[in-house]
Amino acid sequence: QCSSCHEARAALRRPRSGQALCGPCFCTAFEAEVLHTVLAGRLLPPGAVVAVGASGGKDSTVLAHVLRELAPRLGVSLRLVAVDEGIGGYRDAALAAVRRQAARWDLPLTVVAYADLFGGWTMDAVARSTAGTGRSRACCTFCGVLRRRALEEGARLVGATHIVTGHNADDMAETVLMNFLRGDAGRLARGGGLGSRGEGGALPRCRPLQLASQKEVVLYAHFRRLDYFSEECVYAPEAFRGHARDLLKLLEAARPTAALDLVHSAERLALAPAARPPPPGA
Amino acid sequence: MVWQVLEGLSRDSAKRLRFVPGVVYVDEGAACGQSREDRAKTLTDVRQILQTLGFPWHIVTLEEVFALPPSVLRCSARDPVGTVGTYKVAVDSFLQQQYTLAAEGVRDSPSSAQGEEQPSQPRTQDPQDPAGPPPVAQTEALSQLFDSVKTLTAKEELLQTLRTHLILHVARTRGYSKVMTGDSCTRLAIKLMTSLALGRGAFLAWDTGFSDERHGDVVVVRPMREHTLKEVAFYNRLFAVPSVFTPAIDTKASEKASIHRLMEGFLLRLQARFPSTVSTVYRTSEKLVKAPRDGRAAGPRCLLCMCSLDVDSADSATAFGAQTQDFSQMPPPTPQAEAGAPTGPCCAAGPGGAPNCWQGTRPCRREGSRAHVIEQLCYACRVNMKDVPSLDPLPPYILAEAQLRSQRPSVEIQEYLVENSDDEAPASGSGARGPPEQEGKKARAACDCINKNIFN
Repeated sequence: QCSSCHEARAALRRPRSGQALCGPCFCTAFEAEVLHTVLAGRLLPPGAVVAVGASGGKDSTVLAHVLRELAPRLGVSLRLVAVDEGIGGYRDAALAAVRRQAARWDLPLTVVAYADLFGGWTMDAVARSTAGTGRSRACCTFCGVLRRRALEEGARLVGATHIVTGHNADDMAETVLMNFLRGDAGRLARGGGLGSRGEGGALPRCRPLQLASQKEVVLYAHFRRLDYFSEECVYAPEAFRGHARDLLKLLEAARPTAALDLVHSAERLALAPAARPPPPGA
Repeated sequence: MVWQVLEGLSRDSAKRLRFVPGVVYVDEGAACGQSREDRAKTLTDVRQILQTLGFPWHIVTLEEVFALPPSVLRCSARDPVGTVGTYKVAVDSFLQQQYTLAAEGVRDSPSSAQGEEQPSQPRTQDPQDPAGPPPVAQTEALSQLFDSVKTLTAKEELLQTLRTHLILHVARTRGYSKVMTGDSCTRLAIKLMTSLALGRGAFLAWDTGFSDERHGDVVVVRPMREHTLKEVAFYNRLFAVPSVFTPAIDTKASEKASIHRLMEGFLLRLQARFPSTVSTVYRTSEKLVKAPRDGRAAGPRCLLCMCSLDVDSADSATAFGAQTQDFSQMPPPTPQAEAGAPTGPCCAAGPGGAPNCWQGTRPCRREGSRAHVIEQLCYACRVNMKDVPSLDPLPPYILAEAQLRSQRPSVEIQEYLVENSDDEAPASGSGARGPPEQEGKKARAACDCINKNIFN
């Protein structure tokens, strides 16, 4: 029996609380939580033009759908921005999913390609050039940096005031683990909050799904019957993040709240000023 | 580490250490499920080693936590009263355990250094109380406590907490101002990642840094933090350092059984593939500072780990906030959690708590008291307590201190109270005061009288 509306039969148990809910009540609760995160964190003020980083995957699909539901209440307008990294056999199919979504939701879509922005460099080219050096695992690091830049460019093109990405709690947990394992004090000092205000002229960006667990994102997409692209990037098996991901899976088996515990740790890290990166332009 | 200290104090070493050390060994056999015979045997071996050192040594059993005073949980700024007046430094020796596992090399188990009070020979310093094996009731109480904890992770954390309090108490009562632990670089890197996963991100600098002064008068230092486990193993072998093996609480547990085990296995495996992993994590730990992230003043401290509380009920767009809200109930959620069945308004578990909750009926008080204890814990300690179904088996000093703190007059009226040492609850203690119950009663009476005047 659904413990919220007490009418419909329970269709799922929430991973965190073990509460039994029916589909619609769960979706309502999920949306309410995202709304609360945005309002309590004052992430998207009314009148904002929000560029949604859309990759076609489950996180950005759910993000776009939820924000679309909440947009009237928040008083914001949405634009979809998709990034084409130039990864053959993967990105084209993902982009097709994004185009379908844009059509279904009637949202404007802009696609920015690495090849256009970065002088002809596609991720395949980057991977090829790092492959010989024995640092082939590093190509994902490059992609992360380039994608953020590309998103920034796309957002400017559409006149956005804020950027949102679909990172969930599990992503944030993996990030903090990864940054410690790699000794990336700079990233550790920057991360942990709900987003950044935008330094050095960059647009403010935030992650409304940051406190939602990955399992719940998948459940939401299931109950709302969302169409998304579920394959993994061709280069993902080599990424260092894979180690952090495996570790997180193990930790969650020992303690179900592990992802949120890590996010809490990340929120409270205190790093020495010297560890922080120099301000842009210094 | 003890051997190094021995060396450092010897006349012919180039740089002579200038402190007077003692050694503490805590016997945790009851928590680890060891039989009396095994514990006695271990102690004989330990005593043999300790006797060759020539330092004063103290063996205590974990069961003694049942006799600790609540003052052990208070941060004291004063220097402890030394009995002889000389500057003393306590050396807490974690005896190295030598057992080889196929790929791992030598493990250093931190839980091995415990023992019981044994005053067979007259010492120049403090008279030691004679004590045989601890009373069976206490041993059983300890086993009961640890058996009631549901996960190995929470057991490990509880063990560490109790051990720390006990060692702190020993240090304070014997006049030691510092406690040295034998954590190696490898151990600290594992500890850092484990603390991260447990939600202790705010306290990493204290948990893994060189010095940890959260207790005020007694400082915990970690002089071995630059040495890797491998180096320690080689040192022990080359210099024939004697050691004793005792099973730890997680010996023979599967690798996935606790966060501690998982992290250790993960880091050591990753280290095999990327040989700079441990040193990278360690170097990152050096960049951590001991300050709240946004520069706020230190507030109340956690009851168990004594770090400044890192939970803020006002800011709900956080990991903590996400777990304490409930959006799936259509009407505003009624306070559930520990209370179970509706208990009425006096137990409403709001952030401020109900100051007069203890005036309620008996069952209400017990459930309210669990909420009161949880309120005084940091995030990570709260998550651990979820795996402890009942707080009753805990040693009395914890519950007594929790009760004391929850009845202290609130901050808003603090400035109007005239500071009077007779009425105020004691802010610090060396453990040499009267029995804890009397302390608690006196403070309760004082608060009672104030409460009557103010909270009409």
